[in-house]
Amino acid sequence: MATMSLNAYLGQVSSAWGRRRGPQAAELLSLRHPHVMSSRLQLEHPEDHVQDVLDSPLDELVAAHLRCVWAVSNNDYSEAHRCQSAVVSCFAKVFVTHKDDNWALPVMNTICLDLRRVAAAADAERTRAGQGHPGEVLEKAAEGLMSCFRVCAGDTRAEMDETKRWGMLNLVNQLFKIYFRVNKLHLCKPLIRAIESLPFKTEFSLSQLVTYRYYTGRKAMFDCDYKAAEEALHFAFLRCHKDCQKNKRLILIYLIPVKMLLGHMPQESLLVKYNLLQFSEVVKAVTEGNPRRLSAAMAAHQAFFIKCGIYLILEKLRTITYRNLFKKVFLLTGSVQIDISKFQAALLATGADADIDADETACILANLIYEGRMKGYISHAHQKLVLSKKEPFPALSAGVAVS
Amino acid sequence: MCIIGSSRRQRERLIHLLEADEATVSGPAGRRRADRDRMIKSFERSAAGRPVSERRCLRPPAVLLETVGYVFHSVLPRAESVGWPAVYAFCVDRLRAVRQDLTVQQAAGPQALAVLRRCALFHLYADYRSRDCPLDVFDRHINTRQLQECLLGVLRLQQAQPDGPTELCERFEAVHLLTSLPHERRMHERWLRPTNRDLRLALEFRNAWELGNFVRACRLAGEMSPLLQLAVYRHLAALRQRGLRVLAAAYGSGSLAVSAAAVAGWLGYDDVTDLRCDVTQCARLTERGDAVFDRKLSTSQVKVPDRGWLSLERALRDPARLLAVCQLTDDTQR
Repeated sequence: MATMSLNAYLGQVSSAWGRRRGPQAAELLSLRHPHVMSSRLQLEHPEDHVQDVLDSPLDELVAAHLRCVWAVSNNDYSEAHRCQSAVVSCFAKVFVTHKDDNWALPVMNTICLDLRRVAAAADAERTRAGQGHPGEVLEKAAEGLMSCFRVCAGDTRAEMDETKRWGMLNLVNQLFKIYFRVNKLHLCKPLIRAIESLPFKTEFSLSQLVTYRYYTGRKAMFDCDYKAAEEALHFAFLRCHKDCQKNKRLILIYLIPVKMLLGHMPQESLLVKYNLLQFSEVVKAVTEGNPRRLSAAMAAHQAFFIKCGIYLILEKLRTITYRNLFKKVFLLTGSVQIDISKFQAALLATGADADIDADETACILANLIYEGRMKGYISHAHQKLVLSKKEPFPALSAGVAVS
Repeated sequence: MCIIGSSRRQRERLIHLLEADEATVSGPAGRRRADRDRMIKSFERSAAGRPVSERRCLRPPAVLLETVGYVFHSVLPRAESVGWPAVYAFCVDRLRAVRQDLTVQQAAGPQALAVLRRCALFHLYADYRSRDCPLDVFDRHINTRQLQECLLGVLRLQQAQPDGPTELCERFEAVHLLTSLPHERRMHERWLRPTNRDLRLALEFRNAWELGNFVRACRLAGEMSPLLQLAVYRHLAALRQRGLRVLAAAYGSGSLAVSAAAVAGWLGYDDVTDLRCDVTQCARLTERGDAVFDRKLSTSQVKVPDRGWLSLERALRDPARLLAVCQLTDDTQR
């Protein structure tokens, strides 16, 4: 493979394409297959040779692939991206002519994956050179993927076995990766709508479903829809293969904060098992009701939390921390009627800002009552909180009453 | 500011009220005579067979900066005489043409950055000034979209500046943060210990907003500079809406009254009368004008209008001084 000649390669491509062997054709057009190591296939101008053997439009596609192989071997990822975009564009034009046939789906999946990876490398190269702005090349790659997506989504008349719509989820997952990288999450919404409207949305391969639920879970988390986020991330975590420890850890990075916001604290053994001890101090601070300890825990691993994009989500745990602190005040006081000044003193003693006054303390208490984390009412005239005699602090896992 | 197109627009009777010479300003629209010192190039979409802008019509960044300066110093104050709707429509169009010229020539550098900052400031000011205007005069959604385009351009050019972030860069990061709430949920390490006051206030406001702490959020809004107050203004109504529902849940027991002045202070109202008007959606007023909240109304829809803000009214009394008040007069070198 690594010394394959051009004629042998073109012969194999022609055979695979002519016999409609999708997986084989996909390998021959992949940038990760051993054939790319052959110096005889790393050609700057392969067009003439390819046209002699292959018919249009396959010749254009293969020529672009071989030029891409050449560009990658020279570490010129900008050129490689241009060539791979041409491969995808050419393929989309060919694919739409395959009526009631989806044998080329493996080819589409392979070249689209390669397009995204090459675009990421080109983006990094341009950022290092100070050219353009970060994410520019990835956004262009997304346009290429969308052209294939439109071909697949538009294939509504074919039978279930032959429809190109089976390729939609793979493309959506690739697009998710790009949109999350360039921080344009709002572009995920129409893709999610398209997948959710499919009658066979649960019949895709498990690996694709897990990836899909991982990203939709993250999106729901950023939209503050924690119930939906928990459902999606929980599915992804449970159904992710047990040998994919890295992926399971990635899912947990987002599932843990969501679960904590819904009142379920992770056990230390889980954090140890998946090497996520960054959350350990956070969990202890929230459980203890110690805002100062929470701030310290966030600061200790701020780089990790910021890089994963969960810093602000973890800040929201401050509400639960206050709830746990106020519960301690209630237990220490032993009364259902408590002066607001006692809560204020507790906040000041545990690291709240020095300028927190009674009004702000009352605001924090009011929010906890509004969210259903405390049952009672505030008397402004007497500056007291009056708690319900029955279950003044409902279990955190009971959820939030209103958002 | 519009040399080449002026004769064509004169022929086609497209001279705006704010471009006409004094003798023909009050006359019929079709008979206005152009005042060459007041003419500004108008926005034109690209069309098939016609370039977006001919080379000779493209204004360099220095001219664009002068144009925008003219808009702020000479056009905005005319709202007193010709009315805000006419001034707004004129400025939106002409500033869009300014941004179009910047885009076509792919201008970068301090002058282009200064132009975009001023365009962003105009849209922030317009959002506040047009709060009582009907939809056919001012569409907040469209204005916000144009504001976001300006701010994204500002952030992109700021990132490309060779000297790194300056104080003004950080102020505009703060503006972007506030105008993008609640969608902007990113965090950067250098934001953890901000030295810039505006950026610090914006970050604290976001934290308070996320936790529903309306008391702290309204206090922070009161401490902000006029530029940031223009950015945060759009969130005050939503903050008050949620705040009233929270107060209804927490204080809505029996017939316990809460002083209207206290509630007005918590929710950042300048005038207790305004608060008394809004609070009736989730409380009844006593004879003394205090609020007795009803817990059952804590889940109902509360609608609070955009209200004037005394702090901003004072700062922006003279529109001609808008740039100076927002400290944007000396940013062309960075």
